[in-house]
Amino acid sequence: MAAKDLKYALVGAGAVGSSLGLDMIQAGLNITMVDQWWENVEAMKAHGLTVNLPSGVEHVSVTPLHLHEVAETRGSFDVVFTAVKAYDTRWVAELMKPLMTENSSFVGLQNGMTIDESSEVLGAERSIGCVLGIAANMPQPGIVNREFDSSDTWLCVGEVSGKTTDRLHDVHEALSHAAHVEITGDIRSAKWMKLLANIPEMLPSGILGVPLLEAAQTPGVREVMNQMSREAYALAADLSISFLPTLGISPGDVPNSDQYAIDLLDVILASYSRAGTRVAVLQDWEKGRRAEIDAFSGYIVAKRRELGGDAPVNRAVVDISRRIEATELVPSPNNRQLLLDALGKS
Amino acid sequence: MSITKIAVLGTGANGASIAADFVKAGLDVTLIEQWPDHVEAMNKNGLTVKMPERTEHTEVYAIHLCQVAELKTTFDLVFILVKAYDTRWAAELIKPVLSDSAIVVGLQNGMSINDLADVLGPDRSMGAVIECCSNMFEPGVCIRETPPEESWFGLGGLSEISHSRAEEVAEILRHAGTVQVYDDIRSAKWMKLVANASELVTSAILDVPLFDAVADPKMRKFMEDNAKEALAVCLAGGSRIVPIFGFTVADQEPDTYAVNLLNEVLKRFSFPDTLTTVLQDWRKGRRAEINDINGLVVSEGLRLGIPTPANSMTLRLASEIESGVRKAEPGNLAEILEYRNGT
Repeated sequence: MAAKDLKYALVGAGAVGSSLGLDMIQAGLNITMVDQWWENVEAMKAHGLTVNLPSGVEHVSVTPLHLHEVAETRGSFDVVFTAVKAYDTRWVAELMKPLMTENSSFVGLQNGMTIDESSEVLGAERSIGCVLGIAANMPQPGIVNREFDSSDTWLCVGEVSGKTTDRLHDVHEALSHAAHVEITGDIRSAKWMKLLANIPEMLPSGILGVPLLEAAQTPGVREVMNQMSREAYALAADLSISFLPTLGISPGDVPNSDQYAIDLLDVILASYSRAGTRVAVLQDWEKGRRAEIDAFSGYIVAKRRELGGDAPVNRAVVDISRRIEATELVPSPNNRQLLLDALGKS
Repeated sequence: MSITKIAVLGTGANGASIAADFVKAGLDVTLIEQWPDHVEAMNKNGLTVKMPERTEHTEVYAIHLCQVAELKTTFDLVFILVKAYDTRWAAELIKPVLSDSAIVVGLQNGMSINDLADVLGPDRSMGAVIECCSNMFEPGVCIRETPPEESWFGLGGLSEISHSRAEEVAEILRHAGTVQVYDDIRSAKWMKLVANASELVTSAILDVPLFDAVADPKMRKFMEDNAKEALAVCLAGGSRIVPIFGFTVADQEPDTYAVNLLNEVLKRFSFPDTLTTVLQDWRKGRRAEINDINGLVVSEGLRLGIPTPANSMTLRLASEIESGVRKAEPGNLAEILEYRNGT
């Protein structure tokens, strides 16, 4: 079946979901959007979805569903995209499971290793992973600021099995309306490369409460970030992850050392961030929501612990993040010293 | 291990009524709800519970599902009252905000205890039988036909650890009705499932109130056969006959007991205009719990080698109604009665 004949759901119409969703809807795909933020759903039902891009403003009419309206849908979906936070993956997979067939696929447009969660709930054979190279935010219901045009957005999709299936081609075709999309035979490693890039940027700049570029330029902070990257790289190596060229880095430019993790952050800073770009973690905290701590440094700490070791700098940064979520601290440049102290833990 | 913070997840007619009883008892209760208009109405105007003899108005604290990720505290006790088919995702949603010693109670029809135990583990999961009659047609307003003095609950843990907390949870639930603790909650839930198999989906297929459905002797026979098959499947699967709804029965022959369960539901928990929860769902355009009730009887019957022609007919017609190829209407009776010829 051609991509346009399939029935798609997109659960999570936040900044990323709406950015990609708008392009796919404009391409004529049959997409049912679902979102948990009720005011966002109401705003889109009333005024449509607006995405501000560097090249201009795009607008589509949409009729997204509230969560409670999912039980009003009939039939099943061929492809379920989800762009919810990593920590919402399991329940979204359970929510959509009754609306999927054995041949449906579930595509996590997410950071973190959510392919494992979706595989546990739905089976690896229905789980497709995606690596996101996109920056966007949602300042108010129904309105998204997408910082890069489709032509400058990079995605990579792959089956957990590594096979290039018809379903994967369908997903590739659909997403190609919204980005430059590659197919990988090793989605776990591909997602790990993104994780390597996310590790140094997400929690540190969130803790400092400033845009990413500003955080990276804060004296002393880059060394904390680099040490976090090195811990993550060492863990990846121990987990037999392949260090793939990614985010536009060419194969010849992949060093055979943890310098690669540091190079990845350089690419993020140079090509995927603007002066005002605030990381997802900070956006969550500013909205009073939980951030994806367990999908970023929390994952490094937990996985390293499973192997019987310690990732001390990531662990110290996670501890600071937990204090923010417990409202003991607020994101602020004043947390710089706390962050620098994390290095002392190594 | 003391219980201070309580959540009620799924505050439709039953959930909201029970939550209101907890609030009136002075407990710290958060209502978590998927219908946005209902949350907004409850927070703005409070919750109104209309009972046959009185109407109560209670100020409550309700949050939207998307606000679960904003919670800074954890819950010690969660009652889940979403539809049985929503159990797994509701349990996953609430998992990150459970305290270390939290107990989660599935106050639902069907065998949702298995789903709860799958997601949360048996030590945190408690099963419950709920016998309340209520409905909701506008946000913030419950019509509760069985006030606390006529509502009934069965309760029991799925492991020694969770069961050791049953009396503690029962104390809290007693604010909403009579509570009986069961050592074998799975069997108690099967008794309710037998009753449900006879009445919920069957009468909804005819698109009539429960009382109208049982008034036709042929239909009534069909409903009783659904119950008898369900009880036969229950017994074959290793569960046993236990008294529920507070009436005791000794040594009843299964087919007699199955019919008595239906009679008891009709006598105590139904009123002339009572629409079953399945028919309420269908009229709202929502999926109903057909796979969790008659569907479970059919699949368990297949597994155990027990024939289930009545339940198979119920399941088939209900599935056709949900997929839009059939309408719920009294005219379906003729086809229903074909069940004796096999389906």
